[in-house]
Amino acid sequence: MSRPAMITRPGRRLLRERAVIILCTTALLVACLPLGWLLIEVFRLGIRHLSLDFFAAGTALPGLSGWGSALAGSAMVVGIAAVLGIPVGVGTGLYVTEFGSGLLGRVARVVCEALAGLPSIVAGMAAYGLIMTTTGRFSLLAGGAALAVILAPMVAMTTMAALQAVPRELREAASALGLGEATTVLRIVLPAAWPHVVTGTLIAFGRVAGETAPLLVTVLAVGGGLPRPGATVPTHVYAHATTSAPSWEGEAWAGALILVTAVFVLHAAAMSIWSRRGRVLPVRADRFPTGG
Amino acid sequence: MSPPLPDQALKVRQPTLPSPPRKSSGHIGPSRLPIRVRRTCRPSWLRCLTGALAGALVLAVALIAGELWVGSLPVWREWGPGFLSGRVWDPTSGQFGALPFLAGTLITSALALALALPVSLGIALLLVGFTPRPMESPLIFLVDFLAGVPSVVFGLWGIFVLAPLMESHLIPFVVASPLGRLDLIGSAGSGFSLLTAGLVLALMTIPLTAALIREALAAVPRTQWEGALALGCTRWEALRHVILAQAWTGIWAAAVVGLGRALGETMATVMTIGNRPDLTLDLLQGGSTLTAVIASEFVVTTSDMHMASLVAMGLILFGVSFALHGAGRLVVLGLHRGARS
Repeated sequence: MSRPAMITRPGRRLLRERAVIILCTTALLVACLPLGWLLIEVFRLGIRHLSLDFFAAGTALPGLSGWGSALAGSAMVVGIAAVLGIPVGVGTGLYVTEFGSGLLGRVARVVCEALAGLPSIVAGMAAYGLIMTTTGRFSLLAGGAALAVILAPMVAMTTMAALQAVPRELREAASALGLGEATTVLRIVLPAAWPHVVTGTLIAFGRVAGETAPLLVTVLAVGGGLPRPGATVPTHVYAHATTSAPSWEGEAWAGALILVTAVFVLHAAAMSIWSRRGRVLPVRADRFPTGG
Repeated sequence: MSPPLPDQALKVRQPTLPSPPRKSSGHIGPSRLPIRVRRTCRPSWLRCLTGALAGALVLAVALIAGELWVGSLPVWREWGPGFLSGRVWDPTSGQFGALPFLAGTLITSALALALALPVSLGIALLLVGFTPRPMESPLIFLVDFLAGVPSVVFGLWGIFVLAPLMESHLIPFVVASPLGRLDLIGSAGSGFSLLTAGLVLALMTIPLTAALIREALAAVPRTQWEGALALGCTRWEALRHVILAQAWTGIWAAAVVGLGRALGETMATVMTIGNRPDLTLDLLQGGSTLTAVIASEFVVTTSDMHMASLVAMGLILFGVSFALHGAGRLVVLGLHRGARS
């Protein structure tokens, strides 16, 4: 792109821009077509099988409990993951950003970043080895622990990002007013970062709720069979999809619709908190001039 | 977290109260000063609590690594590194080699990344440079939501929609075309193949890498973009010479994260790849990956060695994901240095 060409031939430059726009739009369409197709199929095939009966009745698949208990199992596993993972995640994020200049802080940061890329099935295998072999049959606990290992670094990363976005002047001002470090963090820094942390946690929740692989090797791995109490929605979808019979296929799509809806609701909630925070921010802005 | 608040706060503060008078007796000047100094030196209860939680996370990772190492020890004792280059996987006769799965993982991830990166770069450019403001946030929401769709749903779609489609349309077409004469693509019957798995993986990776690349592009200060436009650049020229020129680091990082996701993805792979422990470069053949073989055989292991081999593959995945993270950091560091010098 030499300078004279830029001046004398604007037509070609605009043409090039148009070509790039067309290319980029094509990329968007190439991605959106199959993805949209997937969502439409899930909705179209899933809605047929979804009714109150669907949750109350057992399934046709031998050895499996009904979708109602799968839903309860999912809630329990995700609940265990939340109880274990959220305090550890928020705590680690707080420690790394606020007090993490030492060795532990640096190690914890690297561990969080690397853990976020850990294949989830590996967490499941380790949970199986550590929990199932020592306590015997507590399959839901092992599944919850595996999910907590996946949830904690994600929560920690959003907490770090949120706290880093809080301007340093706030901390310095709090310190200058004589507040201790605990009070500064709890009363000044966390309130400013809270919406961001909640948003990230909701999105992380969405990912954990659909997580299948670690549950496949923990919840389903009791005695090599499919135990009744240890059913969850994602593993149910997998079990129904991989056993070939038409009616089970329909139930798998219904289960997928439940999962996709849950993820959508969580994302929408995260988005609404995020945008409400955007509206709150100007009010905050005159208290904290640089925002937060 | 809230109940221990007043209790622990007292515990930390109380020992400091009696000591200052003794300490400050030798000092001249205001006796308050030593108290403040001591109090800031002593770690607050919050620092201790969050430190313990961070320590718990680090400990958990150490436990995971230790568990995987101990669980896979029989394999390393028996075969050592030869496990990685073993070509045969046959649990019934007690032969365990990881090479077919390593190859399958590499092929599907490379395929997925090669397909996903250009497409997500295009989407990110569109979002940053050419999208009208009111459309921007719904599109960002859509991309984020799609990145959150569970992988088992992608697998379901792969089984019932994509694989039959591949079987009935694409495979006959490819075999009939000149491509069919290449060694890379042979004749095959089933729609469950490395290619199908690679396509589903690409589809799953696109929203993630697109979101990450968009963030990298958006991190370049908006004023520079406006400055370039004011100088008479077209939007594409501004994107290319101002934004892309500075965002390469972020794009590389996004590629590394996308590769990590493709390598570690389990459900979509195990449901579409065909799960055959064959060493093949033929994209239309069924194959398997590290994650897929763990998912399909972990529950039905036939011997202790079988279990240990699967755990060894878990250890490989663990090591690769940490190494990939390290490599990502090095790339980012190196590029930063290169940009500065």
